[in-house]
Amino acid sequence: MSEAATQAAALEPRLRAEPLLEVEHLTKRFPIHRGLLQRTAGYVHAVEDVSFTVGRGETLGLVGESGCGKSTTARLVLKLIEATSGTVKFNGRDITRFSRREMRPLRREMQIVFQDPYSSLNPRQTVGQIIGAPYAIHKTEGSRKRIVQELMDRVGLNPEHYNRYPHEFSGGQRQRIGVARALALSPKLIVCDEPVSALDVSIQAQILNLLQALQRDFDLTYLFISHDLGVVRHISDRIAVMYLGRIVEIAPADLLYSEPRHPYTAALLSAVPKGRVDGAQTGRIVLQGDVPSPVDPPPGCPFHPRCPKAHLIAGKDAVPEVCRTEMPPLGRLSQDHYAACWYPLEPGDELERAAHA
Amino acid sequence: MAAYIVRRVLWAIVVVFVVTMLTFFIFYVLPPGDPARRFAGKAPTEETIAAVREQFGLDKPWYEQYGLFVKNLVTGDEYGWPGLGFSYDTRVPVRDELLNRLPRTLFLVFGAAILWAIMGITIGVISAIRKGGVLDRAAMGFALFGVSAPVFWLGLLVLFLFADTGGGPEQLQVLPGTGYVPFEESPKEWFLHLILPCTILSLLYAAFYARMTRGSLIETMSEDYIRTARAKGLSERDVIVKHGLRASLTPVVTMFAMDVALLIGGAVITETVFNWQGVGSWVLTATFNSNLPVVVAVVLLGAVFVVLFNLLADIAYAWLDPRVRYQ
Amino acid sequence: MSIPSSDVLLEVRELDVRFATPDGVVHAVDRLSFSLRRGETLGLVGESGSGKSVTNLALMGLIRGAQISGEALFEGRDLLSLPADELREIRGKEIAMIFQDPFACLHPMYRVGDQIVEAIRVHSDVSKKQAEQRVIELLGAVGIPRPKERIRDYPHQFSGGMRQRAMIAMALVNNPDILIADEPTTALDVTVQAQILELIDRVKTEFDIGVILITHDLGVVADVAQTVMVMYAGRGMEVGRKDDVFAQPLHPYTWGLLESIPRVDQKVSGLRPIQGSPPSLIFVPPGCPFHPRCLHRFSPCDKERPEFRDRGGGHAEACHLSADDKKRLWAERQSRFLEAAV
Repeated sequence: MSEAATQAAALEPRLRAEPLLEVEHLTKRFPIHRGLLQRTAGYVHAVEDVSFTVGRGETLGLVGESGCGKSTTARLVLKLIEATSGTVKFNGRDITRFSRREMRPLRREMQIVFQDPYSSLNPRQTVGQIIGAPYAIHKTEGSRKRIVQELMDRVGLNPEHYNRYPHEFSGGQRQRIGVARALALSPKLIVCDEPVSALDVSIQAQILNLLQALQRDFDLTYLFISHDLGVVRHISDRIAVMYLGRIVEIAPADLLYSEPRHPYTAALLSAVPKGRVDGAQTGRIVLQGDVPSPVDPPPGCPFHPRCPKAHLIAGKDAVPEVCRTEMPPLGRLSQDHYAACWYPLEPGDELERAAHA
Repeated sequence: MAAYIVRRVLWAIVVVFVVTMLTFFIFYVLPPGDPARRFAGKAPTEETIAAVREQFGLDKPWYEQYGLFVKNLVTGDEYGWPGLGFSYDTRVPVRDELLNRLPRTLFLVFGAAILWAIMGITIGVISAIRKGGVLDRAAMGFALFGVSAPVFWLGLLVLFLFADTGGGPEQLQVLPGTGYVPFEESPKEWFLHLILPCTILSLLYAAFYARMTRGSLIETMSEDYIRTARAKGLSERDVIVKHGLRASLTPVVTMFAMDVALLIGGAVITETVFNWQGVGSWVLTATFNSNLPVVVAVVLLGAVFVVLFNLLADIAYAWLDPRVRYQ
Repeated sequence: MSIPSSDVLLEVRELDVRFATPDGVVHAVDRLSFSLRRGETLGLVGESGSGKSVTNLALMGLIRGAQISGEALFEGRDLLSLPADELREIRGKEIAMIFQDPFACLHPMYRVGDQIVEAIRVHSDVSKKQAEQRVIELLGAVGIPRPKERIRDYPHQFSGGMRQRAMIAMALVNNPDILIADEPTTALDVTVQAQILELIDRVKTEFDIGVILITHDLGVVADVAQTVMVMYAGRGMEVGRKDDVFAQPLHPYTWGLLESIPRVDQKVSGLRPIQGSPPSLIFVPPGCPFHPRCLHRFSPCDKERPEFRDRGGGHAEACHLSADDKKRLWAERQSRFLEAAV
């Protein structure tokens, strides 16, 4: 299949849903200034040629380690920062070049829940003010207080706490406030940027359950960002794995976890402490070194310096020519399963694993 | 680090140039009326005015005037370097007066600065370590006093008590009274005359710095790397001095530079109370008398000092905190 | 509860830590007992407020203004009653500790090498040159490339994983007997996390030490620890060999934890979060501190404090339910939970 056709296929919406969000070749580069006269010495390739779609009512998980660009992608989608190139289409409309004014009415349809429940709420405002603030900006009818209290009830907060301040709530409750705020204007899309990472394990589960219930009841679409593979699996329909600003694999959640095709995905999954006590301990796939910096990445596949599959093919410390020189496109491996790799994993590939004590 | 310093120095030079432009604009170009008359002093005769016009080139177009202005500054005029012109009110070249008064102010300000740095930081550190205790409360009480007590009142009070010209008890009268004694005349007298004004000037700032050091150190001591230092087994003294202090001094250093620089032209009250005849009282009088050449000179001087000290503060900051060097 | 063994490094008995605050007395650790053997990794698991960090800070003498009682026997001495300077000599030398956020834990204004050299020279009288040599050796041993150049770098020039390796090197530099790792991987990426855990495990074997690993992540503990203790509201709820605890958990809190964690390797239909939130440590619920959130509470739970009962092989828990009841209830919960598993 030609590259263009493959790329086009990668943008196919899911069978049942029309796409709510379509992102094509989205790129964001931050200039670096160095030297005596602070000239632009290079770029941080935060997000590079990212394309995906999210269908109405679906949850797309965006997963990866630090520096992979997932948070930047979220902000690009919401137009909180401007893209260097590429397009963002929301509900069929191309909003990439929309001005602030043009975006204003759209903002009620796309909302965000932040990671840190402690710093994302204004400590000087009451809960009622925080959740009710969107109503002041986008005029609504009906008693604001009543609407806010209904919302509080919906997310599991006591409506009588309308006049309390954030510091009077626990971390989990504050995150519920954040969710209520995001829900206030009945958005279509909610971007969840690591919404449970700062919470205790038992509270995480409560918030995840809440998010799922709300999705059903309000027909919400989620873009769910996390570094926690367990959490992402639980809540996502499809998952996109990012590495150094690029998407390296997209697949339905169960398929991604049972049959990862990109070597990075496999390594990531094997690194998660799973606590298998039944004796079936598979060793961790060995990756050398640290996650590299997104400043001026090497040519070819960004993963090639650390790729265990590359070493499998070309021998220890060697890398196949094509991996080193050409960027693999996001190729379609099967219905709904795409990976950007010249040599995707096949069953039977024995990747080098660490011996497990 | 070197690149950082070079960048800062270049930038400082640019700023100084901009300052000369602004000064020129404010004093020469902006005000209405005849500039020559303005610069010619209190009750100028027609000849004086003509002489002034000649000297400053005030009949020339403004850019030539500016050029002349800068040239005088850089290479000097007929009275010497720097070329600041002639004060028609007091009938002396401005530069002579300046070179006479500047050392007095410098000794006063630097003397006070050293005093307040030592006092302020020490008190701040002790306060922070003994947070909430008696020593802390006493120290912060002292700080409150230092900030609230008017300088002129304090000055007059200590003169009354400790100066041999004062009216207080005889036993306390160990120090000389007002006035500055040049070092060449008598080192001993020079030093003795410095004690009172330096102390008074430093009290206010010592109070500020004690509070700031205390706050900064308390914040630093709650950082994770302090816990690591303790976990390594360091003595508490080493933890505070080596790890805590270095991290908490950076804001202090920055403030210090600005405070010292601003005092060069600003220690007016102290200078007046102690009859110091320094730069501050000079420019105060000149302002009341509309003695423009003097005012211009002091404005430039003040600006240069501020730029210079900011530069030093930036360098000191970068030396203390290596993260800054890589910007 | 002591495990008869030849090489017990640390024996903690009835450790109790209280803080006086304007709102009341915070009972951070409540009569906790455990022991650590050489060559063993003890995983202390709990959520925030469980007391897991406070326990170790108390052992190291890093807590100020608290009322501490109990015993912590290390090499025949009770750490909790040692005078401050003796404890200081042990700290960083025989017992070393690493913390969660390696970025904040290294002084930003000093070179990494100098900070580690300092750790050496606090405890022994060697020259700077000799100390530096040892630092270079250790940095290499923990997997930092080109250590000779890297010692001159500042912390902000190291990546997260490398900083944590440097912290580990700093902890090992004086050949400690015990390494306490407080959430060492929480702030790190998953692939780096795996590397660090592996490093800690290797270090434990090579240096023949005991490791106390504090974490909220049951997965981490299951991968790396031999013994597990689950903590809640400052008390131990369940303790035992990891295999025993995970195969047959015997405390409702442990069950709740296991059920509320989304698994990477299994798709479960719904997470079962534990109702409510962790209790305030000022007003700890009477009897068993977990009872307000426990699905199986019955009459003694809000009155009597459950003591640790050994179920054999060092597996013990503090709960009023009988052993048979517990086995049955867990089996029931398991089958319901995995009903919709793929």
